[in-house]
Amino acid sequence: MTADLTRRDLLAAGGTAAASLPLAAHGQGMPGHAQGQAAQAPPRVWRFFNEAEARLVTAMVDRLIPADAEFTGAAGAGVPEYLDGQLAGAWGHGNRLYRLGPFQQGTPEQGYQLPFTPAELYRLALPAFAAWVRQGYGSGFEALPGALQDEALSRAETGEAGFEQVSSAVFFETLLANTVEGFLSDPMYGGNRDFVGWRMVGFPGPYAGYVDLLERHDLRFTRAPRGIAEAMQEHAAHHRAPTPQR
Amino acid sequence: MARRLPEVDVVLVGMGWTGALLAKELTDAGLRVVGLERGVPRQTVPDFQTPTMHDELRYAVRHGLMLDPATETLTFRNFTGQTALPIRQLGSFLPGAGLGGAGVHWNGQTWRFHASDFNLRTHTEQRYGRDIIQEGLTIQDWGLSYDELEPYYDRFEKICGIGGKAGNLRGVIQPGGDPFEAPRSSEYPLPPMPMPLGPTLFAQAAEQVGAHPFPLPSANLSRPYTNSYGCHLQPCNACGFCERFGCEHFAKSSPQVCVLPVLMGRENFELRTRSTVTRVNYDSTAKRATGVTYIDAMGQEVEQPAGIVALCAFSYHNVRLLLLSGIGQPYDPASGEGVVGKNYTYQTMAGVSVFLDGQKNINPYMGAGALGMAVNDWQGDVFDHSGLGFIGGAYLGGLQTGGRPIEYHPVPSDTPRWGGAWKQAVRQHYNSTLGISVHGSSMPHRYNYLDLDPTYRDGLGQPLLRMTFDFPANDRLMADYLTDRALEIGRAMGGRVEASRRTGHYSIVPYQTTHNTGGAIMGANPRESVVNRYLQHWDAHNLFVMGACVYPHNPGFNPTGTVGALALWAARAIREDYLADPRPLVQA
Amino acid sequence: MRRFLAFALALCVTSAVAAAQLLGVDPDRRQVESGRAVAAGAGGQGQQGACFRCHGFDGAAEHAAAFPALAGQSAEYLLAQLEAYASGARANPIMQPIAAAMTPEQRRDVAVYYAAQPLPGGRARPQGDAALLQLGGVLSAIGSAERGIQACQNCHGPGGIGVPPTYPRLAGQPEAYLAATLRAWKTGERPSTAPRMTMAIIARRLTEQDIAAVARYFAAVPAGPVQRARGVLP
Repeated sequence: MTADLTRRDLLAAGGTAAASLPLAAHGQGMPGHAQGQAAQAPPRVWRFFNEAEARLVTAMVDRLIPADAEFTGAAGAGVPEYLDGQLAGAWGHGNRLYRLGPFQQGTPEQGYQLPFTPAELYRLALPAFAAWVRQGYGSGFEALPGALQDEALSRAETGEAGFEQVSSAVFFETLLANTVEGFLSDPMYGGNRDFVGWRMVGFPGPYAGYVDLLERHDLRFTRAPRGIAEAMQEHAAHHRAPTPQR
Repeated sequence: MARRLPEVDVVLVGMGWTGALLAKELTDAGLRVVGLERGVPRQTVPDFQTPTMHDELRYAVRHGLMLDPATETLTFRNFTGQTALPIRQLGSFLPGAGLGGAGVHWNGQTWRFHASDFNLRTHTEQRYGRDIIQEGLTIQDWGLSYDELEPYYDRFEKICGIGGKAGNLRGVIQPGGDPFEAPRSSEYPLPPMPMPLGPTLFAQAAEQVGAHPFPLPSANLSRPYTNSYGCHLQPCNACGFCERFGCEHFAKSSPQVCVLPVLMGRENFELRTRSTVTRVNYDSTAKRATGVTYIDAMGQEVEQPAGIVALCAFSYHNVRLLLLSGIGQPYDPASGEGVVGKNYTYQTMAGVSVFLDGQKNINPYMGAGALGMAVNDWQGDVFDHSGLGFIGGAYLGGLQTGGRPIEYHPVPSDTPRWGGAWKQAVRQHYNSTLGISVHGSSMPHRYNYLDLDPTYRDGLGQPLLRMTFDFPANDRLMADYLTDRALEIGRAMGGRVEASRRTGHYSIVPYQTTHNTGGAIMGANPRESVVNRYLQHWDAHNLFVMGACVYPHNPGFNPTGTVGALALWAARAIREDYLADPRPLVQA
Repeated sequence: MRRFLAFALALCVTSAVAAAQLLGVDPDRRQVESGRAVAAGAGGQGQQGACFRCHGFDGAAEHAAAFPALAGQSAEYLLAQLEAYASGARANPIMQPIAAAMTPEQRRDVAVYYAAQPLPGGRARPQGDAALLQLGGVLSAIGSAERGIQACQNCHGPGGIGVPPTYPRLAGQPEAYLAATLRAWKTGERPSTAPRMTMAIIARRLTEQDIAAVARYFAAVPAGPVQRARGVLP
């Protein structure tokens, strides 16, 4: 059928080749790439997700943190791009994770005990969730109305969604935590685009020093946030060729 | 084959707070000292800088300055009957890695313990009789008194430049300080930090309910300061990035700022980083440590002979090294015999949230790690425990440590965990919610202990430490009682209150504290302790064990003040007593 | 039209907006106009002490002079300096009588006025010793382990653009002003924010060469708004 389904099929069959298939061009000539979604997702090259995973995860995180009248949601904030970067990088590949066996199921108090790196977890769980939704709801997750999307996510949260290799609840918790991270971390990681998360709560960002304000109680403090990448760019801009003197 | 180096006078395992203090004190005495640090070197300049250090994802969420569990972790279980499984990612506690240890990324809350903490069993039995001590609690006296340790608390506070307000100066109660603290020989070296709205509201409410608020003793410096070693510290600017971050302003007491400037460059001191000690070499016949074996930065095994060995690694890591080295009898919970690994304790944390629902601007990001007000009215044995059925207590604190939003976005408990309602709640409550922390004591229990795991190994193939721990009933009762007190204060603060009670089994998943204590405890005799009152090992008089692992129980305070005081106390004993006549300083 | 443009630009400058909000007032026309009149000499200081004579109406730096650029500076910071001059806490034979002659409202309004002026675009062309400029850049961005001083940018923002309301903009200030100010802290002529003395301590640890380097460096950094494109580091 479509290139995307082909990849998904490969994935379902356990083919790791899916991850290394050449990335198709965005939008153009991609059957099954709905117009609305093409308009939503900024064109970009995904480093970890394939197109189908990217569309699915974009739709999922945008229900976890939806847009409202003032502040965009996780998709608009770049959370999918954040996730892509994290999963393609050292964290996604198990950095700072004890990975020696034997692996066995523990109690909730014993924490994460699966043999998967975060990247492996997402790679297994996303198509499993997609297939589970298609089977139960007769449609892809992205095409479901919002209320049904929320229902499907809730069933994943409780573990009710049955995935073969991985608990849907473990995956859901990982996705939720990562979504919040993406919405509220420094924009240099790809999320929190235009500081939407920081503006929403009123966090001024990494440039900080407030000792002179501590005793000014109940101060209404607003300052446009500034991020690390932006600061670095500004710093770099200062080192370009000097402009003519006034 | 291990490469054998020439013998030195002292080898220190770990270069955090205790390693740095011992290195300073023992090089002062003219000894040749080698400090072995398994992590990387790091200094204020150039390693800690705005804006890169203020990266919540990298340092707070991904634990950029902490021990990498892929290198070494622990296994954990709640009960002896369970199979312990590895802590695969850090959660409940965050041990440091690298020069300065956790002293780099602590908050700076620097307390003294109460006098009754040092003779807990005697004091408790005298005041309440034996029956108040629940079955299984293995509390004991520490083998030294507060009065003996007081000069060393004083010295540590003057090394750090602690800001605070004395409440008891040589027995005279001082207004504005903690009236329940043990007598101090002098005022804090610096005044407290300016107080923001949140802690001020907490203090007002605490007074309303009859409690006695005071500024929490802080290692975030309120003034420029030159410490007793001649190191220069600078004032905190309340950036709100203390815990889990290194300070770029020379404004949070740490080994880097308070000790290393005078230590590094001394001819009789050598720091070797990326040097992972795998065991203490022990001559069981002579009952002496002969040195240590470590893996150097190139992966080569090296033997460093030494006249004195001091374990200065993170608390439970010292216990693991003793077990791996076969020094001392491992604790067996079935028989109650043995000592190494016994009395592992933690901290019993609970809390109360006060939602002001947009009525006030709290500005939580204007913070510092130890910025806040506290009350000790229900601490230790300040209050009468008759009829309560538990021992111990907690300080209640209204703190403003920072508002880093990934981990700090309080919402009422009836808020959905995600979706539009969650988003609205995060927005609504971020700037108008206060917390009261219940920082509770942890009593040792017969079945809470540390030993070596039979299955899991570290990256070098050595057994991991196994932690068996759950909150004893005593501590749950204590936390409930203290949470009720915090609720009273919270209600007086004028908001909607919600308690986070200490329920369920101990879990290694959510962060609680990095106050892991006990396991190589101090005491009056070798049957019930690993080290004597001078932190000298009963089975090897030239082996000293530093850190919170020596606490027979964990009082309801942050542990670092006592860690520092004990290290200075032990250093004095080594310098002024042991060196002239190396021997057991206490006869078994 | 020019005024409109100035306002539009000023609104892009976070320092002016945030500082004005901190004072509880947005930079509205009345305040700015009143402040402009004070700058023109209508305040208690009179024509002799009109601000514009040295600072211009635009508050831009004169690179050859030792007068600070005021445009786009934090209003709170400017006000605090005027108050310090007025009280004598910050010693300066020229500014002290001028500030003392103003009413508190005039000091506030003129602070808001200059804060609302658009940042000037120019900067000093770095000249002379490249190694000196390099030293200034290092002290600015990293600090000095040897002297135990933190990076300027830790408080003053990237490239010293200022972190309102407390930390003033250093970028684009005249070299002579920056050097004179650091020396004033070093000698105690300029009292640092009591009781924390942060700048006094830092200045005392700077050598004459360090001061020259830092002053030259920040003078060469453009004060004007740089492109604020959001970037993702690779």
